[in-house]
Amino acid sequence: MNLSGMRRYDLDEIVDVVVVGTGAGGGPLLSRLAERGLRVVALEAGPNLEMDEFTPDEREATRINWMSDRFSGGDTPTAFGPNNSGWGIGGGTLHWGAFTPRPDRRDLSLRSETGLGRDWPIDYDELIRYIVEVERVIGVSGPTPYPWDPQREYLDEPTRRNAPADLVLQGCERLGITATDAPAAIITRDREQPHYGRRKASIDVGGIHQGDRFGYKATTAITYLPVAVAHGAEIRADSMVHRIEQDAAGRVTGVVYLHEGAEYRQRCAALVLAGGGIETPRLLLNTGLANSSGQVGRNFLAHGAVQVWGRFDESIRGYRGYPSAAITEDFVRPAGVDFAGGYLIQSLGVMPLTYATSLVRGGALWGQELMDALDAWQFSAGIGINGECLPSDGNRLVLSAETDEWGIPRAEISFSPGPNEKAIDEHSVGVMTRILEAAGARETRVLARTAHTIGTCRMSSDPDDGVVDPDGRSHDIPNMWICDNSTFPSALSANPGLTQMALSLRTADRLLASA
Amino acid sequence: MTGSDFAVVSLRGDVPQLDDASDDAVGPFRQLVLDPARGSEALIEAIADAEIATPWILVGGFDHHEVAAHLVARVLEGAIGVFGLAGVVLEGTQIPDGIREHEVPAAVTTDDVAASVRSLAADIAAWGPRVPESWARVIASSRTDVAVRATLARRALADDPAYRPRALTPEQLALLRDVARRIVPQGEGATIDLAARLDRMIEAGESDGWRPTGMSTDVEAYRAGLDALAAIWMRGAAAQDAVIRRVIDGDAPSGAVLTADQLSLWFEDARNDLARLWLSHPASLARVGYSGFATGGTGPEPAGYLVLAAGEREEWEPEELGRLGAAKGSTA
Repeated sequence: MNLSGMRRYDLDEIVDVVVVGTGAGGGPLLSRLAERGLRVVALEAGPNLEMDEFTPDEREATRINWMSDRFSGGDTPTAFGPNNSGWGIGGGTLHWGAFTPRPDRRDLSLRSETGLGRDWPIDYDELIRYIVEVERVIGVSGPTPYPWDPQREYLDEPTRRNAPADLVLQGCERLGITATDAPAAIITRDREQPHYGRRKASIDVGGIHQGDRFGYKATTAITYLPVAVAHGAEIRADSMVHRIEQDAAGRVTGVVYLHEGAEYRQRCAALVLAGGGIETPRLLLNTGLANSSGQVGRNFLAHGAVQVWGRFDESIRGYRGYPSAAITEDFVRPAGVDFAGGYLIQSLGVMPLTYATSLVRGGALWGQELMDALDAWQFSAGIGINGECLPSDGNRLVLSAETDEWGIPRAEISFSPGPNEKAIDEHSVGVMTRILEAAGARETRVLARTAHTIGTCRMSSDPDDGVVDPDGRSHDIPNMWICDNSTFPSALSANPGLTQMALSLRTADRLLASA
Repeated sequence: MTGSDFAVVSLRGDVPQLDDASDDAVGPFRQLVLDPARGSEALIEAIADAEIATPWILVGGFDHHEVAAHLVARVLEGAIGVFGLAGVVLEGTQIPDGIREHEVPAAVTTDDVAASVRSLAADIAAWGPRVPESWARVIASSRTDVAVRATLARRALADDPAYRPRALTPEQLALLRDVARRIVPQGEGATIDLAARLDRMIEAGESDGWRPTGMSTDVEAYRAGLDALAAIWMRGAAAQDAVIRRVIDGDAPSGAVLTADQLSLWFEDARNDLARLWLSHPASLARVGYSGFATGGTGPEPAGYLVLAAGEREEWEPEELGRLGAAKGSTA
């Protein structure tokens, strides 16, 4: 993004707030704080990417992903890198799928409903007010009316339906399942974005996860961050925070970061960690801070993201068009099941290498079977879920003995699905297979997958049960806040990006009110 | 038109008798003769204007080494309108460093240029798959971004069978080639040397952002995994497949460095790397019907998709992708 003319702060100046990370957690908050006149500095581990550095080529596109190795274990190790980890100014919003369902009210009271997981100590209607604000600022397109929430209004028409969306909608209709166009942070008409400029309407390409150089997909780098910079925020790229300094009373006084091999210290009056569900707990475990509860790194949640692919007679080529153009929320609380929570279903098109990886890792294919499946890809339409995930004692992040290029211990994450996750998977595979078959699929194939990195510094009213309070402030350190999806008390069936941006604005307002 | 057509872009005037050897497996050769004095930008434009859709060989005389190296560099940077550079033949005794460093198949000759061109073309045809002409045209077109064209141009270059590994030992590379044949069987015709490309990839440290808990870096894992595999590898496809199944199932002897589970986890990474390397070659992308690299582009407006419906394609797409669809087909 354009950082020319950006205000600069001295390292010795005690800025009001340092924000670590510029994605869905750090971006909106940074802009809010700057607009309200605070002196704010954002430290981003990754580079400042120019728009022409985004490419549809999946191998080259990993330049927008956090590629420094994480260790992944458990029964179903979660894939990192391009699967869930952003890199650069804009963080995870550079590679996110921009699929923006709103959270369901029931998902925020999962524990009250089922005795499992956690409730969110947040008022749902307040969260939705922030969500509506985010949708308007970043440009979320979708169908009005929305079948599961008749009051809802979207700014613009939804994205065009691609072949997988057509088929999933057909299959659902034949089965009596309500389904419609998906809400997405993809603009469907040109738009002037304040302090950024002209954003082009969607050109209906499928390489959303590889990054977008024309501005049809909302990232913080073309929405919130230009506003922040225009209001005096400084964003420092290639700056990896590895220490947090405190005074005798335990209050944060500054952060130490590495930039091009040299160490710098930025003094600050308050600190917001927004590095995401892996980097934030890694930093806290490495510094030993904010962990009187022992909950830092625990409760790692990954959404169930199993896919079913159907082979059709006609060429589908789902790499055209917005990849997840159809949705059904009919299974957020499916009838007659014995699991807690539920799932969203979306239609799927994917890029070729991503599909190949799913076939190898999620489908265990090799040899001629693999080649046949790759040849059948262009005739295949997909459907997948985003499913609830419950915390489990074994699912956690710890520090490994190996250090990375910054000298920081690498994160080691364990994830094994429990009975609830398996039950959701099984139920959804049955439903999705029926939908594809109703749409005319000749044969179907299940590909295992999980998505997102959630819960590792969860929010709680009880200081023993989580890392931050319901405002997002550390239970232990009064001038430190966490603002990323590590704070999610539960996973939700909605994809996390939109909710996280709303939480980001809410945290900013709470921080401002606390001053 | 056959699948063995080549073109020659000659800086040294007409190459006589190129199509005279009737027993050659390659040809016919289309010739484009250009005056090297025009300068490289004008030369690039002239090559683009010629709309060559077959693989082509750049031919230069004794005095053209520098301009040839410059042209190779420009083409591999993704010069607009140009795709398909497959090799270089120069009059001389030594391949210039400026060409060698790009790892373009190259040959030098001091007498029979035509024979040298035919011989290199035959090698190129044998060393790797060719990108179909309808797909080469899309890659060359302004629909495809310069950086993407550069990437595809490099990946399209045939692999040198004498490739010397950088991360692995020659024995490990040979075993990896065996494994690649079983994991990613490329079918009839010339194949990509996936093992060599994987050696380059791990030497460059290109990873996927994670490792199974307890595993060493990719390069160390590949060395340990291949050594463990070498101890149990067999001759013959069926026996090799049986070994592969045991490794995947985690019940193969794994040697001293890795546990059986780790061997299995490494092997999953290896299978994934091989599959992705195969699929990222432009000939493979053409085979699976993927035209999505040709989006964005360098035209006046960003190139996207107008036709999204099943069974349908757009005018610029290769015919095998479907019937011509109406632009802005099905809208919500």
